[in-house]
Amino acid sequence: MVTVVVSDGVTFTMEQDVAFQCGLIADFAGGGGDQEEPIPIQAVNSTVMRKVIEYCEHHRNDPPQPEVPEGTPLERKDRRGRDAWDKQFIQVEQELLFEIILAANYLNIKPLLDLGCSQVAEMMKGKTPAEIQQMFNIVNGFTADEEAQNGEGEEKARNLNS
Amino acid sequence: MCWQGETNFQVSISTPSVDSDLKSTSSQRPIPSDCSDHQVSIQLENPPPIDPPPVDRAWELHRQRNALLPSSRLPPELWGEIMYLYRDMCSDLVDSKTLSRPSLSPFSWIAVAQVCHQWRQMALDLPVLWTRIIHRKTNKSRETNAVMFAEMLTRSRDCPMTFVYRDTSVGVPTIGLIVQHIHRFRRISIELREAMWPFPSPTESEPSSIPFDTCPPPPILPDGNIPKIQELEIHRVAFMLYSPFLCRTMTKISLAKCRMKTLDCAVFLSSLQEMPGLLSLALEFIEITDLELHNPSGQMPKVIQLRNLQSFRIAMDGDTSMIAVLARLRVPHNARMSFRFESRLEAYSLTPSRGGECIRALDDFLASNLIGKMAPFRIAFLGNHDSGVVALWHSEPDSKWPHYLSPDRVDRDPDLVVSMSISTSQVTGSLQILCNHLPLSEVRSVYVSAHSVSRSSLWHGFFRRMKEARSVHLSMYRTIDVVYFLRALTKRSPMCPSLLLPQLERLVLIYVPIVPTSPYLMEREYPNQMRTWLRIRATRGLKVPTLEFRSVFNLSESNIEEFRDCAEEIIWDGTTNESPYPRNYFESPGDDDITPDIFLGGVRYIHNPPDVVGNVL
Repeated sequence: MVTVVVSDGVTFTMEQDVAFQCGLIADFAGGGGDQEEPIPIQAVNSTVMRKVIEYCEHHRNDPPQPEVPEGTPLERKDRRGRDAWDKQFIQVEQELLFEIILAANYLNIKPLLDLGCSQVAEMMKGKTPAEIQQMFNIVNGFTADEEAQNGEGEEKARNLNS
Repeated sequence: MCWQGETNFQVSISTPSVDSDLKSTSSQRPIPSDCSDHQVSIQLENPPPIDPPPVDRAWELHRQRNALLPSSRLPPELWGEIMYLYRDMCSDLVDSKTLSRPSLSPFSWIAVAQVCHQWRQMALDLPVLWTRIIHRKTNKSRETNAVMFAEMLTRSRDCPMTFVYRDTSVGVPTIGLIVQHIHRFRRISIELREAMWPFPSPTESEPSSIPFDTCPPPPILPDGNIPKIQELEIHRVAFMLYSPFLCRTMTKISLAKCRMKTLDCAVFLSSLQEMPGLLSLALEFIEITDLELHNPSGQMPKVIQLRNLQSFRIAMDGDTSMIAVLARLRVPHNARMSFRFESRLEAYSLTPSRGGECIRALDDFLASNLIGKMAPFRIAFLGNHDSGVVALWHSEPDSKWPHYLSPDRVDRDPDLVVSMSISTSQVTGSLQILCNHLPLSEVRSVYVSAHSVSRSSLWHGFFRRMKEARSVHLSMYRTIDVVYFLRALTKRSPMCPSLLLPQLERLVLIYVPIVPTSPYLMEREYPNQMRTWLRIRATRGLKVPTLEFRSVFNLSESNIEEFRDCAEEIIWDGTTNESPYPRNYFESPGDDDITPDIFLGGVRYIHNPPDVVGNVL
């Protein structure tokens, strides 16, 4: 068993095959047997950690992802497909979604990171810049020059998209 | 300065000197109380610089506000990943052959660079984001597109590029861009629907004096750039097979519906030897007007070794000379192969009995390349009336095919299923000849979809080497064909002294009309013959353990009883009237279906296809 303590002081105990899906925890534990001392995970709170553990428990029996050779073009890297459970799992509030992505990045859980990033990309799919701004509550903050460039870019994109 | 009618009101503005401009930098300090009037007047004449316009402050405030948003907690590298995924989502929809009218346009992902200042910076700092130029048909001028492509080439800096182009034709500026930056492109995929694009070629003259076993040296491209293309897909483009774009770095080549000459084909195939990393080769030589090889000196290429090829697909008319050139190819035994031969006008020229040399030439090729072959294989003949497909593949329990497997894997894993499908109408004899090269003794499962195979000897030819096959799925619409199959299953012949399929455990009949409604068929008692042949097989010690009926025609509870003594177990899915009698089994894909995937399918089923056949390779 592996025990971790998160930023708000909550302690989680999980089985080794679940915990070792987190690269960070596996590195902490050194790949050895049971870890007696709780591993501090300061960058993740208990709410997010519960989601992370839920994901790792569901995928505990998945085959390991193949190593991507150094120098492989990004577009050639295989990403784990999303099954129905994954799609349901990642349907969360926007703020929690970003927290999960950050946690996956910090804990080094590549499939969860891919899942979170894909979900954000899905949310943006088919939306105009204004709609994306609205979705993430962003104001554009463009300088006049950038606005002009955007105008040109939009025109070009419109030409290409029509 | 004086305005007309306002003579009493005068405003005097002195132009500040350079000195006073410099002074103005210190005038932001408050005026001391002990300043003289003169000093005050100087300061008023040189006012402090005005504050930044409010709009700039607004930008700053907006940026500070954005920085506090939950989305801003993600570091730029993660946003870069998201943008990258988003771009792929948009462009993949366009690249996909399954969606001819994608809901998203190929450049809709550019929205990420127009959301806010921070996102724009992140997008511009991610050169790999700008590396996929994907274009589909547009009403706008192609010059405009070229401007956009040029911008992407700049923004992607030195990253390797992908170019995907689907349109009726292509503009000259775009051609120029590709040639100019040829060293940066790793994947080029061009498909033109209506017009032809003269793809850049070093020369327009035919290299008729070049021996077949040599290839012309690559010409020098602009600025001495050496192409490093890895994947080249050219469809419906006038492509010279000795183009400089065919370079040593190639891993995948797919040429379809290109205007090419047969002579070029021989040179081209020879030149493939210069590509040590070539993994996938797909060629479709359809619509060639000059079918016969122009070969006055009688030269033929020597053996062409493609040592690392994993996938070889070819679609062509049944032209003997072309196949003769192909017969010089030597590919690895673990390469998956797919052949598709169209014979639109002379369907019978395929078969040796009709004087066609095609099969003989193909036989030579297969004899040289299929020895001990354990990789997926498919061969299809499509003609006006005659169609035939044979496919061989591997599948593991609980998984879908196909898999690349080596012979030693087959030896190690007894549960491995080697399956074969035969779909045929009139060209059965030719298929049977070619099947002789396949490792049929490894086959465990057979799927047969046949029409007009009215000779038991043909079935003997197919099945006599399948001594380990455990299951047979028979999809037939004519009872007589089933009868001939079952007769072959039961009768011995000079070429097959022992009973066929001695290990047969499961026979599945699909679509078969069990009780034909036709008076002629009733008169012939074909249903009775089916039962008779199964019973005779049982009396010879090879009773079929399981007989299964799926979607059969006109079966009833009482008919089922009549089959009880034909097998140890009878399974029926309960359907009685599901299968209409079809006019044709196959239809050739139309021109609209000519896509890179043409090599994958080859045959479309009109009615309820057994899904195992269409998806083999």
